[in-house]
Amino acid sequence: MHSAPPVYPLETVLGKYILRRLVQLIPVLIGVSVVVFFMIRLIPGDPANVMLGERGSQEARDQIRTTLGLDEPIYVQYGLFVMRLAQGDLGDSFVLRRPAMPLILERFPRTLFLAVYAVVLSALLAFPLALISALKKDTLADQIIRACATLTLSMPSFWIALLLIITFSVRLRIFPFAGYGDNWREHLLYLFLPALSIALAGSAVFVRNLRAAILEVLQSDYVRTARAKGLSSRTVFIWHVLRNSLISTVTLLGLHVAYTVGGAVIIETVFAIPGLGRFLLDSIFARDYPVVQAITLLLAVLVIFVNLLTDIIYALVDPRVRYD
Amino acid sequence: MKKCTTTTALVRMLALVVLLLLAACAPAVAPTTTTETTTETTTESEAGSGQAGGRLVISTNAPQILLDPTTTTSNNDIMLHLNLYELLYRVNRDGTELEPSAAESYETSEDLMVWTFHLREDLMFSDGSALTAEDVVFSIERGRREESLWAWLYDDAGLETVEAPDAQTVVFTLNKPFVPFLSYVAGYWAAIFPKAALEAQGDTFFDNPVTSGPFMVKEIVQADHITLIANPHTLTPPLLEEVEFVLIPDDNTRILKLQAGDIDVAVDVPASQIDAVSAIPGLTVAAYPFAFASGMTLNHAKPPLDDLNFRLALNYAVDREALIKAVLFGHGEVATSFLPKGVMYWSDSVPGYPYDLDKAKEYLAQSKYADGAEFEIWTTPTSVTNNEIATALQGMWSQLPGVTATIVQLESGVMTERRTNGEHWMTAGGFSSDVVDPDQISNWYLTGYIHQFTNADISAVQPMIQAAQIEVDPAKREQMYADIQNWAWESANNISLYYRANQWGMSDKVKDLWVDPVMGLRLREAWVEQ
Repeated sequence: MHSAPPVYPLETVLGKYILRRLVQLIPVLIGVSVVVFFMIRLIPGDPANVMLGERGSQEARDQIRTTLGLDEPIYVQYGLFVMRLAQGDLGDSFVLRRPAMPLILERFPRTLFLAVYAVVLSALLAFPLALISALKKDTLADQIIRACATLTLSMPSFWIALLLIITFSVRLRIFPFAGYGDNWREHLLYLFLPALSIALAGSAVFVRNLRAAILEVLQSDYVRTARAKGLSSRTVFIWHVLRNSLISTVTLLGLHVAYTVGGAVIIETVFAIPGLGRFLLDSIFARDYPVVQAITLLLAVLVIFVNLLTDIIYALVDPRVRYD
Repeated sequence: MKKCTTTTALVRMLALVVLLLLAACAPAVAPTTTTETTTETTTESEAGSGQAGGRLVISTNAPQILLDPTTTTSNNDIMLHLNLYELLYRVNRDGTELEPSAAESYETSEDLMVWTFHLREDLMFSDGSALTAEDVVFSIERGRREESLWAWLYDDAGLETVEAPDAQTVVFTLNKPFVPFLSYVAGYWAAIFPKAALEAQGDTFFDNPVTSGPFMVKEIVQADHITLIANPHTLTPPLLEEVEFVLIPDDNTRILKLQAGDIDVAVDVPASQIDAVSAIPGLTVAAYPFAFASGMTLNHAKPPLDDLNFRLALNYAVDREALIKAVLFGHGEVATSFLPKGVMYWSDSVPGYPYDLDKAKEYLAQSKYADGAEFEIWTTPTSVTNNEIATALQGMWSQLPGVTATIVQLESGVMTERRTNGEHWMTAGGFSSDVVDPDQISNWYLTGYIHQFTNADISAVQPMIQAAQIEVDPAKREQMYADIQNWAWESANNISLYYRANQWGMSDKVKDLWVDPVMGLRLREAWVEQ
């Protein structure tokens, strides 16, 4: 005789799931730290050479290597890195000669703001267009939306950015550009065009994805059943079609936030936003090992948390998804 | 009906997008007038002749701001340092000589090994404290410490001790006679700091430093902007009340910002945009003399570059005029010497290598590689100009029978590493001088640090450089440097390509802004028309 499996409340299951994912974070972070530590050192290019440029003597280079601890064997350097990491110390920037973490935390909110802003704009653009496109399938409206989605997807983001600057900042003078602003209102204004540059490409993906999902769900048996039960078209669409179509789009939105934070280099450079992407790129060129390591670890944690958040949202969107 | 409405709305939206794209692609401002680009866009200023007050916004392409001169070699940082910190002496506007700054005079011992500087009276830091010889000694010693990026420079000069016998006197003792020493204390690395404040605060001092120059820091947001305000305690106050430096690394964005009127000055206008910016009413592109030379550094140890005739063939096969037109849109000058033109004792006696393909083929025939040879040109992917130069040279050298040049792009750190290992044939790039005296560049490029990459035979030129370091007579010294430049020409030490000016875009309202040939931005006399 088999007894039925116990049914736990969602909160309990979810709590355990989050705990398990947080525990899984530890080996992931260790793995990331190993990869990051050795990868950056595998790239040819001595920080002392990069710092001194084409000036200075060999003695000066040797002295800088000693000061930065680069004359130690690589395993000793890694040991020191791990010991410091355990104490929350990610080392000092070779270039700015300040602890790396505060420098990164100063820039991180700007990039996160930009990423979230871009995703919100993407969603605002994508949802209505996807709904029109799906509900008016194969009409002229659908064709135009799909053509525009393909067009924006195929345009490089830096080119879109320059077009937006020339149109809305230089000519129409609606939005300021280059910089970040000093308060929330200014942040929203200064980051609108950068966020839109990212959002245009992102929304194209969302439109195509959501449209396909809606069309698929519209063909499903339970939608037909719901209609047969006499539910109104509006109720069927909101509670049965849209909700089930959102699952894959939620995944994409989550991934897009993580992708934007890590890949905002070009947009941050074009719009002169002092964010994390630009800092990472400059630090790689300068062989600023502590900064590169710290940013990469931070991004790894962010990606893991965004994935976790996405999984949690699944449960809220789709009751079929469970974590046991 | 609804379908029709939605479609119509979408068509309208599409039309709007197309209009925006068309609007964006059209010329920003009709080029109704032409503003002449000239090396004489500003005239000699007299302090106090302009309007006092005003705010100036300058955009640089710096990635970050480093206010400690011992930790940076970036030209963008140097521009700040020279307006924040005093020096004993400084380069004059056109880079022809050095003029007193914090020191009012100096004298040397007969053997040129003791240099004594007398400070001006009543010098003060921005916090109101007195600037004394002790502060100068502390600052120089700090620049000599092991972790300083500039310690080597004092070593090259043979600096033994620096002392302050009294509050107004600084005495440098060298271990060898060294004529260019004045130039070596006229650079930003010799900036003067308050000993007490810097010792008390350590490196955090540079978060908001007490300054000795015409300006002090009002606000700094790393990687974004820095705002300077006039230092009330300086002996010769600047005319400007406030100067903001905005960091915009992207060239296009910086120029658009200037076009939009958000900034007054944009440094480093790309050659491709100089004419377009000059054509915009209200904007000017000022061309400041720049101690910069572009060229190819050759590894003489690597065949076929080990052969003098082959190196001469390459030099004569380069059509530099065409290169300047193609890469710099005509905004450059053919280089004849390895020495940048803004540096003292640049010599017009060096004939250079006028484009002559027949002569190049003759030299090739006389070389060990008469049947041709293959080699690589190394560039970095981030330098658009160097890649264009490499492509142009590749085409020009393909005119030589059997000669094949391959372009290899390497990230700068990787290139330095592989260059140090001697794997290279030639690298594209330019260099600028930090001092106006020719000693630094001659020493560094021919016999010093760069020699490890050229592996050239320097047995003849090394004594010439050493002799020039101790020659007191300027006329004789000038002849010595002419001989050194001619040696580099005869031995085809490198492939000099062009000299160019520092091209800065600015509003017509900006007056008396000047940049000296070693990138010293002079803001003290600058002003903005109200």
